[in-house]
Amino acid sequence: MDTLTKLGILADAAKYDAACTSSGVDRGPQAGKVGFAQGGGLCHSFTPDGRCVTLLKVLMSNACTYDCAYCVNRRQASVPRATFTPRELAELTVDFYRRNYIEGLFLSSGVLGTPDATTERMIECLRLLRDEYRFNGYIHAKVIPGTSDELVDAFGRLADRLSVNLELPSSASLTELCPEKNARGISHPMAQIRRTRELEEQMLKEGRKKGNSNKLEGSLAAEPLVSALATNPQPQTEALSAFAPLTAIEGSSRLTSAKQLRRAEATDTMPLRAVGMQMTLRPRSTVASGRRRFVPAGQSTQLIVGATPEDDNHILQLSNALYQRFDLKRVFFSAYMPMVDDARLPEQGAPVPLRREHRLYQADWLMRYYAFSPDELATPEEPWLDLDVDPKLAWALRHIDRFPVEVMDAPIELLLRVPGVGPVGARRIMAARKAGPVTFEDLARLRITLKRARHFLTCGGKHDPKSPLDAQLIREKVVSDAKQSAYNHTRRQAEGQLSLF
Amino acid sequence: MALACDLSLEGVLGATGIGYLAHADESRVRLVPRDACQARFGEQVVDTPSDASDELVGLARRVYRGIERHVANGCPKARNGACPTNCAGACARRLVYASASDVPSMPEALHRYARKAFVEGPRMRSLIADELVVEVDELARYVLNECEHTKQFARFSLLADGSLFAVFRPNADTIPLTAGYFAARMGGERFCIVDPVHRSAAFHDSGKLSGHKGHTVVRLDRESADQLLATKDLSPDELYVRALWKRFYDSVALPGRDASQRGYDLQAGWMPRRFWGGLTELDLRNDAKASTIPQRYTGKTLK
Repeated sequence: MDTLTKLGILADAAKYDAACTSSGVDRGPQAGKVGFAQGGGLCHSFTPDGRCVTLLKVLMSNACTYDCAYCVNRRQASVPRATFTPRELAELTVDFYRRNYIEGLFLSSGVLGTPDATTERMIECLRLLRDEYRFNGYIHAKVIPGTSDELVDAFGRLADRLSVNLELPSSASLTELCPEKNARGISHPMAQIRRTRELEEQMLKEGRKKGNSNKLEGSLAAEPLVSALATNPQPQTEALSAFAPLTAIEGSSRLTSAKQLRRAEATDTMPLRAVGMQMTLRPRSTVASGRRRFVPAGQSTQLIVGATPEDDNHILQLSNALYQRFDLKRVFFSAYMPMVDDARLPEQGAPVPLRREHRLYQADWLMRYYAFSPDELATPEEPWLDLDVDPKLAWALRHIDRFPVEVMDAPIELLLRVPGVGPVGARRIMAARKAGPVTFEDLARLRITLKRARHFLTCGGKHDPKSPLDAQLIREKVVSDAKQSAYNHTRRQAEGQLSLF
Repeated sequence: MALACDLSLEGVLGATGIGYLAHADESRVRLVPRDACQARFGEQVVDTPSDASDELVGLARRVYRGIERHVANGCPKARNGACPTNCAGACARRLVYASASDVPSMPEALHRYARKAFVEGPRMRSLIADELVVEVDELARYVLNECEHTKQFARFSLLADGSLFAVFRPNADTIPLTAGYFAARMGGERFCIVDPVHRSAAFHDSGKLSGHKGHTVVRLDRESADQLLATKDLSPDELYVRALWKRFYDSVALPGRDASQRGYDLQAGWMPRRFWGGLTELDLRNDAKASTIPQRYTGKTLK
């Protein structure tokens, strides 16, 4: 089988993985090497469905010994099978990179025999790329649950980002649909990655203090960190599980929220941190990604939504817990596409829950960049995100008594809560008001989304008389405007009545 | 008075400096593109030196540094009294991007902005809702978008001599602004990227990796541009690699999420149609079976 045929099979088999970002690490060009990695990432193409193509996203092999019910590559599926040789895939990556088709490689795989055997094959490909082809671009690799610690460690020193897919939002769903996988097998490598990154960060900081960072970085590159970890166990983290009873996760979340609330009460503001253009509650490492040797771009995961009955509240609480416990950079959501006939899954032809996926991404964005907690977005009493309005507007309408916000003196935390004002807009407002009074016309010039924001703002004490602060009216207007949009018209036709599952 | 200038940073800032040194009444001086100059009733048109002249470049440099100093005055981020050019407020750097715009009003917008920067000094950083600043911001934003498009959608082909070659047609003069990026990305590769619209080209030779060095940006005359565009001596592997990329691209599309399901075309939104003609993955010719399969892709000898 030539590479063209294999590529068709193995790209098709990998396309259901949602992640395709090349962000998270700034690594400059190096003499004698090809490429570099930039923090913001870059999309080189867009598929007909509008998804970004930034990496060569393929499977090493789709000859899988596992039998996950939802997966097109499961053991029992009748599909053509193919496997790349490590060198063939390395050649392909470099050929595409040189032509400016991609930023790097996204490598996943079906389980070719055992997790360790599969990972060894992937490591060989990455080793060829880094050592023989001197490839300095971005690499995202998937950790197969059950892979040994030593191999995860070796993998992490070749890849920029590792991800362990959670696949399904609860342990019960995982047990039902993925007989060969279990919660511990997924959470264990996540915990290992976090621990190793923390250890490396600590060592780099100490090296910086002592002024011998070069020597330290050299030793980190040469010595597997897993051996260092053996002398620095962190049993508490080890015991954690992404699928631990949700009450434990919620407990942690509430504890943090309570702490935050106490700080907020004391300072009369939310404990926001500025990270570039983002505002976030999460601490940021002081060690630059370019200095790291182990998974410099951090780890991420993916959840399938719409295949199993978990609600949005459950998913957001879980995401929040994952961010906190495993220091994930991203949680990706993949709307389930019914491709398989199975009584445990939505039947083929059921609409893909695109709108729900979109709302979850919006809510996730609010948690990461706007300092929202999951409890503010969904609750056990109202467990589903509003599909008609975005989560930020939905929150504002539920808390209409906190508005209007005065543009001239509102703190940035409050400006960020205004629908239509983002982190960039909030900073522009703060800069502009130093020069004098800011009007609604000025806000338009600052590219604030006034269609939303003007209801919730006053400029110099003046409200826009045409935009009353009335929750019912605003909702009706937004829903009516949305109904006119081509997206909503088409989706309503496709979905009939709104269905969440 | 209309000062006719070249559409470049040097041309515009040099002409701004000439107007200033001539002590002309600011409100009665405007800058116009040399190639599209139309005098108003009773207006005198004065030609300024070409942006290739050393005198004009020197004057432009003085104006640029003057703006940096005035804007940076009192700025805690200033280095040696000059703007660090990466601060979040109004800074001289936006002039560099805006000057690459094709919009005919660009010279006058930059001229007014520069004059205002000298008057306002550090206060300029907070005048982000001012109409003049907003206009230059819009120009700079558009150019930055075109730079991003250049980095995203330029497609290189491997030539028989081992070098890489690309043709790209942006709506702004982005090659001088992105050549450093490509030089850093390509490492030791020898490459050329040509923009026939703005007749600019970047050349990079191997073995000279040092940040933004190792590459040259040149202005092309029509003859040289045509010569470069006629380059067709492809490597024997090239057609197969293009077919590989097209096959990959075709394979990753997801069902149930395309324009007919969404109601709008997300693909065209992110990837403007004006670039589609140059994209390997959308060229149907790359579906054809390549006559030669490179040895490394036959699937026979590799382990």
